[in-house]
Amino acid sequence: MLKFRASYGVAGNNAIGRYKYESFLSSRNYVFGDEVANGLAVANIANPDLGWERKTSANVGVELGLFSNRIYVTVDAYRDVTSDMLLNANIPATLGQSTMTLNIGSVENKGIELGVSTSNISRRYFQWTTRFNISFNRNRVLSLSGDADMIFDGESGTSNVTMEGWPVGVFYGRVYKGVYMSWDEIRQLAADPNNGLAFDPKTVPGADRNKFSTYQLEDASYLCIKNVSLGYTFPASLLKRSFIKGLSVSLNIDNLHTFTRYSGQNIEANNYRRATALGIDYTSYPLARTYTMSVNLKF
Amino acid sequence: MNKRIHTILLASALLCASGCSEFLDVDATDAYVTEENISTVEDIDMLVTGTYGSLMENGLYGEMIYLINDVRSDNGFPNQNTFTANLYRLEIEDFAETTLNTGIIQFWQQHWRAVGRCNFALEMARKIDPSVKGNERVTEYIGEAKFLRALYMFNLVRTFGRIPVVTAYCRDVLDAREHRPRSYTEIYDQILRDLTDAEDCLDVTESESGRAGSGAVPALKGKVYLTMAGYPYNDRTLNPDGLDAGECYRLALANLNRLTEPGTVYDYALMPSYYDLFDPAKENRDPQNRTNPEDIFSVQFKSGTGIGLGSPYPRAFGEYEYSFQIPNGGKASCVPHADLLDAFVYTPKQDNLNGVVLADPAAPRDARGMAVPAAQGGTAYGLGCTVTGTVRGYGGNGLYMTGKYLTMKTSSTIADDADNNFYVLRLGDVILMQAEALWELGRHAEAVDKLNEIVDRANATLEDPAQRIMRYSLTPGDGSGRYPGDFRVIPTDDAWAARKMILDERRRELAFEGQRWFDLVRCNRYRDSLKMCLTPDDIAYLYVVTDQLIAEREYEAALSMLLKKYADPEVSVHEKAILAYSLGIAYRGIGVWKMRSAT
Repeated sequence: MLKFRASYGVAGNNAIGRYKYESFLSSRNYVFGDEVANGLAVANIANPDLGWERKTSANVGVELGLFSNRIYVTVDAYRDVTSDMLLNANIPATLGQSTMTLNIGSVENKGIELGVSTSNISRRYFQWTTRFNISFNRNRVLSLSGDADMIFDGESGTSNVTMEGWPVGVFYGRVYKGVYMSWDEIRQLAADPNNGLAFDPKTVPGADRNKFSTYQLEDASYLCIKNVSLGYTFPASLLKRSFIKGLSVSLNIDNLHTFTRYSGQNIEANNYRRATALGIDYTSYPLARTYTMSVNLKF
Repeated sequence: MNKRIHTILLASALLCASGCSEFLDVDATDAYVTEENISTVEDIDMLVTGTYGSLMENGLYGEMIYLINDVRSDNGFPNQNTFTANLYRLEIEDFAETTLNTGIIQFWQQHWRAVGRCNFALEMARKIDPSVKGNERVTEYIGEAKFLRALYMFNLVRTFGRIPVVTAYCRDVLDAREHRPRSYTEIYDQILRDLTDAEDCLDVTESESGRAGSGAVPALKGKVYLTMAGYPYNDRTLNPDGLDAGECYRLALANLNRLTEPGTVYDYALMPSYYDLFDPAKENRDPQNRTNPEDIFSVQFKSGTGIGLGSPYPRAFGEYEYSFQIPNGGKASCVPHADLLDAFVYTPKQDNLNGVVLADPAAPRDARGMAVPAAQGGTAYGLGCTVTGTVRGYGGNGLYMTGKYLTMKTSSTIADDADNNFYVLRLGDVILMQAEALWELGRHAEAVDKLNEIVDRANATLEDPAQRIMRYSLTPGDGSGRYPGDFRVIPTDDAWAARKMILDERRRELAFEGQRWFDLVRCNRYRDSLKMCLTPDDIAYLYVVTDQLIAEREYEAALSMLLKKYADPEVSVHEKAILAYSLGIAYRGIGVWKMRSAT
C-alpha cells in the first residue's frame, strides 16, 4: 500500500490572556507608619490592535505498507510558520511601562518525522509489534521587531537570547579558552598580535567577572529508555469456573536508563520552563526511575 | 412552533437595536479594575498609595539609591565575589556598567513607572471635585503625587543627566515620540513647579506617618536648589540659561530655613542620640506622638505583613555570612571601604616599626563611626555607622559593615522582612545643607554653627567625653588636638578646601543613606574622592549614560525596531542613548571603552 498526503492550513492561537487589549490596574500596597495601605497602580498599556497569533502549516507525507502492512513506514515533512507572535516586547520605559504585549515577529519550525512499525509475530495467542519513530525539528526566528533586536532571558536574564536567524532562546556567551595562570602569561598573549585574541588586559579590583561562557556549557544529547511495559491478561477461559471475572498483571518501568555524557542529574532540566530560556540546569531534582506493578482483578 | 420563532426574532431585533458591533466588545470591567472604575476620592487615595509603593522597589530606595550613591562612590563596595547574580553591583562599583546592567535598567524603568503612576493618579484626580463635601482630601492627594513626581524626576536627572520630561499619562506607545531629553533648565523648572504646587496642596499637620507632609516640600526644594547651584545645572557649557549659583544658594537657604527658623510652624528636631535615628522601635507611628522628630520623609517598611512589605536593608548591609538576627544571612551588597573608616579618625596617623600606617589608638573617634559591642544585653547591637567590633569578632576575619540597618525591632524569621525605614529627607541632612549654602553665600560664622549642631549631636551620643570629636571654628583653638580645647579650622581663603570639609562632614553623617555620589557630582569633586577606585579624569563618569560615551555605530548595532520606526533620524547621539536605555538595550563594552578613554 502506498499513500501520499499533503496538507496546508492556517490556524489561530488565541492564548493572549484575558482582556490584554485593555489597560487595567493591579494592587500595589504601601505602609504608612505601621498601617498597611491598599494601593493601585496601572499594570499595562492598552493595545486595542492586539490579535491572534497565526500559524501556517504545510505538510507532505508518504505512507508505505509492505507485506500486507506487516511493515508500515510513514515519512512526513513539515514547515510551520508562526507569525504575529504574541511577545512581550520592550517599549520605551518613559511611557510608564517597559514591556507590552504586541503581535511581532515570526518563527519557523520545520522538520521530518519518520515512523516504522513492524508486526514481528502475529499469532492468535501471541502478538509482538514494535514501533519506532524519530523526528528532527529545527526552529529559527525569521524576524523580530527589528533586525538588531535581541530578547534576553535565562539565568540573570542574560544567558539565553532570541534573535533573528537563530533558534528561540539559544545560549549566549563567550567562548572559554582557559584560565591565565599568571600576569606574565597575560602580558605575553596580549603582546602577541598573532594569537587571534584581541584584548586589552586590565585589573578590576575586588570583582570576579563572571560572564556566561562555554565553560558552563555541556552537550546534553541523550537517548533514553523512557518507558518499558509488560502486560499479561489471563484468558477468560482460564477463569471461567472461579468467581473472578477478569485478571491482568502488568509491570511498568519509567526512565529505565539514559545514555548520555551529560554530567548533571537531570537530563531534562529546564529551570525556567520558558521557550526563551531553555536548558538551564539549576540543581534540578533528578528524574525518578519508577517501577509500577499492578494487578487488576474484576469480580 | 410559531410562537418560538417569534421570540427569537424579537430577541435579535433587540440586539441589533443596541448596536451589533458593541455586542462583540466584551468589557473587562467586571473582572478587572480599569480607569473607568475610578470615581471616588477613596480610589484616588489608592492610586496615590500605589505611587508611594514605588519607593520601596529595588529600582528606587529598595536598593538602587544606595548602589548609585554609596557603592558607586568611595563609601562602600559589594563584598560579593562569586555570584553571577551580583554582577550588576560589581559593575556599578567599578564604573563598568553595560546597558545590560539589571540594576541600572531597574532604576530607569521603575523610576519612570513611578512617574507614570503619579501622572495617572493626577489625571484621575481631575475627575473629583474638591468642593463637594467629602472630597476635600483629594487636594492633599494631588499635593502628595506632585511631591513624589518631583522626587522621582530629581533622582532620574541626578543619575542620567538630561532626561525627557513626562507629565501626562501615556496611553499609546507612540507617545514616546515626544519623550526627548530636555535641557537642565526645563527639567528643573518642572521639578520646582511640582514642588510649588505640592506646597499649596499640602497641610502643615501631617495626617498620617509616612505621607509627605508640607515640611517635606521645603526640605526637598532646598536640596533641588542646592543641586542646581552645582554641576551640571550651573555649568554654562552644558546649560547656558540656568539661574546663577548665588541665586540658587539663596533660594536653597530660604527654603531650608523655613523648617528651622524661630516661630516656624514645623516642629522638627535632631534626635538626641545618633544611634536612635536608626532604631526601628523609634520610628514614627503615631502622628500625635512623634518618636522621631528628625524624620522629614522616609520610605516605610513593615515586617510580618505576609505580602512583602518588609525591609531588605539588614540583609543587604549585613556582611557576607553574618547571620546574627538576619534570616538567610548578610548579602554584603554594600559594606564600608577602608577609606570611609579612616574618615572617622581625626588625629594624624603614626608609623610603627614596620612602616605600616596605623591610627592612633588613643585618638578620639566619631560616634558615627564607632565599633559597638555585639548584642548588648541581647537586645541591641550594631549601632553606629560602621560596626567593627561585632563583625571582626565574627569568624575573626576583620570584616566591617554599617550598623545603620542592623537593629531589629522584631526577630523575624523571613528574609528581607525587617522594619528598618530609609531616610529620604531628615533634619540632620537639612542642617548640613544649610551650612553649605551659608558658607557659599559668605555667611561663614553661621555655617560653622550649623556644622557644630551636627558635631554636638554626634558627641552627645557618646557616653565617654574623652572620645569626643572637635568642633568646627574659623579660628584655631589651643592646639591640643582634643575636644573641647581645640577646633577644626575651616579656611575662609580656600573655597575648595572648605567645601571639601563640609562634604566630608556630610559623608560622615549620611554614609549609607543614598547621598554621596549625588553630593560629589553636584560639587564636581568626584575626581579626588575616588582614589581607591579608578581615577577617572573624564566627565563620562558622572552619569550612567552620557553623550560622550555612546558611539554612533554602537547605537545602530543595538537599536530595535521601535526606535527605527518612531525615532527621527536627526536625533542626537545623546537622545539615542536615552531612548536606547529606556528600551533596556545593550551597549556591550561601554565600561571598557570608558576606562580606555581615561588612561
